[in-house]
Amino acid sequence: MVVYFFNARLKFKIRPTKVAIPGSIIAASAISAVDLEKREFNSYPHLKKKLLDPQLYMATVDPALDSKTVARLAAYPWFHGMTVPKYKSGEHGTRTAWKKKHKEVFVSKWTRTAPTAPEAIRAAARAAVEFQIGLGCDGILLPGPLTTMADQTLQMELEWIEAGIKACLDLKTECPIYATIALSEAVLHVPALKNPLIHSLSNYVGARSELAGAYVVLEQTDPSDYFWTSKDPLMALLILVDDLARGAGKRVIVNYAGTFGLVAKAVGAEIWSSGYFLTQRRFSLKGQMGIAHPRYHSLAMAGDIGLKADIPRITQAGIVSKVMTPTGADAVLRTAVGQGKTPADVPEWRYAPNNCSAAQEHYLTIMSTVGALLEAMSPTQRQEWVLNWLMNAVKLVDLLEHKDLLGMATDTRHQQVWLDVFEEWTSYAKQ
Amino acid sequence: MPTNPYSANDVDASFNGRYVLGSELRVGGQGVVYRAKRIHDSAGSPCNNEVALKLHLDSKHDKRVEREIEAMRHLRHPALATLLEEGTITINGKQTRYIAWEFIDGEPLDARLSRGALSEKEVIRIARDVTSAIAALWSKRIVHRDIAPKNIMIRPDGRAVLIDLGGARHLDNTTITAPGVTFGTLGYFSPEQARAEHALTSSSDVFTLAVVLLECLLGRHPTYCDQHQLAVSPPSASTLVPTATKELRDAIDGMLQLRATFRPSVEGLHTTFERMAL
Repeated sequence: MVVYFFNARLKFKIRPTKVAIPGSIIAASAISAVDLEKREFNSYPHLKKKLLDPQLYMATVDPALDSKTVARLAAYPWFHGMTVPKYKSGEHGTRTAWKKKHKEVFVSKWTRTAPTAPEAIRAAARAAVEFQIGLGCDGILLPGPLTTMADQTLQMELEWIEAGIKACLDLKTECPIYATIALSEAVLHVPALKNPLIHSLSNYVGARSELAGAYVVLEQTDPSDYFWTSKDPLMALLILVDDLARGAGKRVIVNYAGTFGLVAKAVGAEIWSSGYFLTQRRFSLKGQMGIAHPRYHSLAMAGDIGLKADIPRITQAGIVSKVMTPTGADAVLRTAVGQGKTPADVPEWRYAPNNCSAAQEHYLTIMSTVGALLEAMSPTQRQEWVLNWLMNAVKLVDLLEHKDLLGMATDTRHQQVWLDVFEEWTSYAKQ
Repeated sequence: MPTNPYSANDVDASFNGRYVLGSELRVGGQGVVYRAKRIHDSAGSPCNNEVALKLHLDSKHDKRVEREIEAMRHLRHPALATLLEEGTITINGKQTRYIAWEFIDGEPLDARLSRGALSEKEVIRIARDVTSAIAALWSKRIVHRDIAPKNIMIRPDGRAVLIDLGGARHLDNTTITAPGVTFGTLGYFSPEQARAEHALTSSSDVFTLAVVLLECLLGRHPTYCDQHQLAVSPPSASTLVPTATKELRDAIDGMLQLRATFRPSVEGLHTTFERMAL
């Protein structure tokens, strides 16, 4: 069993982590089909196991906001029934030339809807399954639309699941099959215990013996948050995982929950997937995100600490060791702050646009290490670990805030929410 | 209480001799059911078989009925009433959908229960047969939605047959039923059915079957038809029937889990009950 997966986008290359990342989920929206087909996966240890997220739930992306993403998605044959022209090097030259040639047509024909006619759904689902088999994926993620406020009957969701299962059976794949459950944040802002959608979806997936489990994606409305801070959506996620894992005995992959994936793991998820960058930690339909700056991830604080001003302040207060999480990637930074220096004195950690390699390695090292740690524990030990981790994070945030050491760049709003949600789930699960 | 808008003579006349109506078996919100003799099928071939003839009164459900029929058409199972024929006739100028189901000779379970509780052996046999029927329906993505004593017939040889599939719903029908509307019998709704949730599965039928099984063991409804209690705090076989074997009590308690995914699969239950019935 594996626990932590990397959210692979266009650039597959990452620095090696101390505990190897055992697998990746490739986002269709991040890489065009023609580029993906030529990739050498064996060159990347973290792609030893791989899944392709067909991201049908992104079918409503607005091309006016994000035409690049639309062009990449439309190059896959399961979006809006358009025949995707085959790439032929003799005819098209480079792949870049192929993409350039077809981009305008792809974008202009983008319907902003997933196929809805039964025949079109069947064809699209089959295309998505075939593509994943052809790519050598280790599991099949069935395409599924985003569940929104517009239609909560789940008619479309279930039709896509059925079509996907049929395609898998017809194509005789032996890979585990996961139904995609993609939930818009808008449908999750109701008390999770009374949210019929959650139970309906878990019930349906649980009742299908052909499915190994579910691939769960949460869409986050605010594109600027690295961490979920809303209680109801997080509780909904935990109930969904619990319903499926403990209730139906299914496997659950959680994506775009960021570090909260650790909590999902404690509740029963098999895999959680994330990455350092905002686009890898959460999913939003609101277009592209801005330029990334380095962020220091503190496991003790269950969040990221402002590198530019907050780390120096905490260092001056003499309690930086309480917040830092030692990894090979931050050794140089720890040494520097130990000598009274600031991140600005450490080139790899200087707060500058796109200067994220060390911060990324640091984050991924923490996630993969904790993933392996949790995996070695019993379910009860895992839950105790998560409870202690969150309680300590809340205390640490209180301490730092009390000493007035934190600015806007440090995430401090989610820790208490996560603890509350986990405690509420623990209490609910005992019933 | 719904009433039958048609006289037997009107119906007889509309069928033009193809069916000979017998007694009126039931009148419900969706339609009226007669015991009838089917003389010829729609192609004119002679049949001469006993049927339960259902006339659907509500034309709003036509599309739903059509899909159910399509799903049922090829389903043949010893614990399910078989659909023999369906079509539309004009009665007093009104287009009416009819379905002819195999007539099950036997006694409805509610009638049997009026004489008192059943033995554990009888209950296990019913559980075995009805789980088999639910599994067969679910293999076609159909949920019965109205498993109640009135819809289980006990044949003279003791075998149980699930009847009245008129409320059954196929996956495709999710959007056809209006939001907030649910079918079934009060006192036999699963928690998710009571909430009028979409996308019900076989787990819902499993829950309601457990209520029926408990009723069979007790000789009365386990919550006295208190639907609210069923939806928030289901009864427990371990508490209500402590004299039943542990295996049966455990199976029923598992079926009565509030959260649908925590209930055992219908296929697994059938295997359990089949073994217990030996």
